[in-house]
Amino acid sequence: MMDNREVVLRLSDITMQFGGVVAVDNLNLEVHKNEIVGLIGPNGAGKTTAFNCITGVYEPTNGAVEINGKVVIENHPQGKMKDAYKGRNNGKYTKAITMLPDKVTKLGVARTFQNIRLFKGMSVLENVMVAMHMNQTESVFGATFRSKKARMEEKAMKEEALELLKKVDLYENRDDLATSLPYGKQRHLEIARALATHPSILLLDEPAAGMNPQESDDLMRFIGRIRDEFDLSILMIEHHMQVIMGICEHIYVLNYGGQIADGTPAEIQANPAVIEAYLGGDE
Amino acid sequence: MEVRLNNKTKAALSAIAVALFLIFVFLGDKFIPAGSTWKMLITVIEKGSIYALVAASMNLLNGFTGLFSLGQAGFMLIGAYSYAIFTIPAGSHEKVYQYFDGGIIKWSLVEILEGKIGILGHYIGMFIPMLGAGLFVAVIAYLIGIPVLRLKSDYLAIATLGFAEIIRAFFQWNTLGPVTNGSNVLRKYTTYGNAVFPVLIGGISIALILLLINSTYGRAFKAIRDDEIAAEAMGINLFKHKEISFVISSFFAGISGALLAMFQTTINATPFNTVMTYEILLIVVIGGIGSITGSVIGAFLFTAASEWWLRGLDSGRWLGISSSLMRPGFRKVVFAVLIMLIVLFYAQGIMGSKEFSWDRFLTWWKRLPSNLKAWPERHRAKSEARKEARAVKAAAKAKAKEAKADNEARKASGKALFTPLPMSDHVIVFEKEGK
Repeated sequence: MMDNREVVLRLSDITMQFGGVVAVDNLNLEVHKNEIVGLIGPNGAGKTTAFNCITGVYEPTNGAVEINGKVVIENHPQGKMKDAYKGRNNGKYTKAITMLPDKVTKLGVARTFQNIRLFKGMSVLENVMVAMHMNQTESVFGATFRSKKARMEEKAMKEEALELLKKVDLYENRDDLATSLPYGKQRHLEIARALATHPSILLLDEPAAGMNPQESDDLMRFIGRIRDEFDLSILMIEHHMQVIMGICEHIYVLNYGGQIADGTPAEIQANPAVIEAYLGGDE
Repeated sequence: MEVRLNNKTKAALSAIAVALFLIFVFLGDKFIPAGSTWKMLITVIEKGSIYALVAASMNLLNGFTGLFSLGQAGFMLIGAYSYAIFTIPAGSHEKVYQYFDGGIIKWSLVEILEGKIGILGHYIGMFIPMLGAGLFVAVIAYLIGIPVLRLKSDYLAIATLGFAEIIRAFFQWNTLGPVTNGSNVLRKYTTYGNAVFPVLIGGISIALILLLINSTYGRAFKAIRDDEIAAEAMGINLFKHKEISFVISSFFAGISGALLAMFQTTINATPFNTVMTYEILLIVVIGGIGSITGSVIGAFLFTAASEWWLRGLDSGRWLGISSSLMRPGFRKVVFAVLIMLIVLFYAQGIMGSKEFSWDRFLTWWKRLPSNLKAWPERHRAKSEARKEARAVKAAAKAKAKEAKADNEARKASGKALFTPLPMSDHVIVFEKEGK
């Protein structure tokens, strides 16, 4: 099926090798505008590593990441890795462009984490306001001496954060300590915090982990809602098949770092390679 | 009854409290005769506010940005020297720099400005070297920060501690003698006339630190402290913000160094060693890592204890107790034990991560009488509960002992270890488990 929407995120031949272990092997992936894409695979398949390659936490060993049509991360095997490299497409990429995570976030790619990483010592409101810090322009002196600009920016930041909390049903909890929230709300807060960075692409790492069917049903609706409301393209890792099959338009399947299938939910469900990876084939 | 005041009342209360305190210190220093116990209080406030400033600056790094840095004494040293060098009167240079032909710098900023614009010039002449000391330290910290801030936790502590020691050795270097007087003492530089000066400068600086912490940058610092990976994913440039925190913290350490130089009237690089850094760390830990209020309280308590209350421990007689153990240095032993006890049993410190607030203070104050009245009752209830718990525990112990004795007896007689249960549909009867 052809998709004529523009591609906002493209991974080309992304390979991540740690020592002798190829954690992600030649991953090719596309996320179109306003699409919800799923990335699934058994434990240890390399899904989170792929996320870390996109967000700049790791430098991929080979391959390129393109965000909104511009190559922002590119690498090829260098140094010791030149001889040790086990992946494909060696020599296809020549440049070495790296990017720190905060820069990737500034480009409009926000993420959540598999094991919730909220700022423990801060309130719910502060957690969201922190994510807006990068968009403020006042210098540290202006902020300390409470210049007019700093006060205005602080006020705008607070208003926007409260607005955002209303949208994700956390307004009542705004002054609570982030870690005192129940688990499901912590997940919501993490997503809200990511939204506060004004992303165009949202990466969700197992948002439904540890949720019961009712909660994951709510989450599914929630993700669909924020996609429309915030004009997002979403790439999500998930184990709950109910969630993945329910909202993803396109699914990529990883196993042992390699990409074994991609397609619509119906195609994936019928794919023998996927069934084998999940249930084990007859041997 | 919980007290809730509006912001205007709070500001007024704070202004009144600060003004009263400053007047007390000013008059106290002016009129209380030297040698009396009350004069000791003024000295404690004077030195305490200098330590409060350096502790607050260290807390900005350790408690709010999560950078375990131990370089504070080194930065204080640079600040102290930078101030002193430019304020030694021209006439005193020959005496102070007697081994270095009167040194290179033969003038004093205070004298020059005082000669030009009178008494105002005197204070400007003091203020410029002090601010300059802070700025110079900030520049040095910026340069040190470039390599050092890429390190994490313990490694950062080791590196900053190392730099502090290098700074100390550098200032004692004989080749630099014409400027730093080598390993000799710098003295005769201009100092303040009244104890209100360090209190005022320290207070303003701490207020600035608090304003920074409560700004959007302060939030970013706390985010880095709580979770670096998440902070980075939220678009916070880790290195830039760590550098900002490090430089600002060092700036205030430099200012406090200059104040300490004025307080001591003579300075030498030797005491700015790791022991001093640990003293500051002790203050931060006692007060509560992550609370500026705690650092201030901790600084005054520490100074009062070391300069006043525990003095006797070093001179052989304390609270009427005499012991041969109490000889110079014993105070340090007591402090060491104290920090161990605090870390083991009271790791939160006095304030934890809370700050002072009028609401909380007045609520506490209002509840104090009723709390005090209820105290004996509560104490009795507590001790009764403890007694009860002890009794329950003793009973359980006795029962266990009995059961054990019973078991032993059965074992000895070769009978079953388990009591056979009556036959029913649901319970399986144990077969005899003989030996």
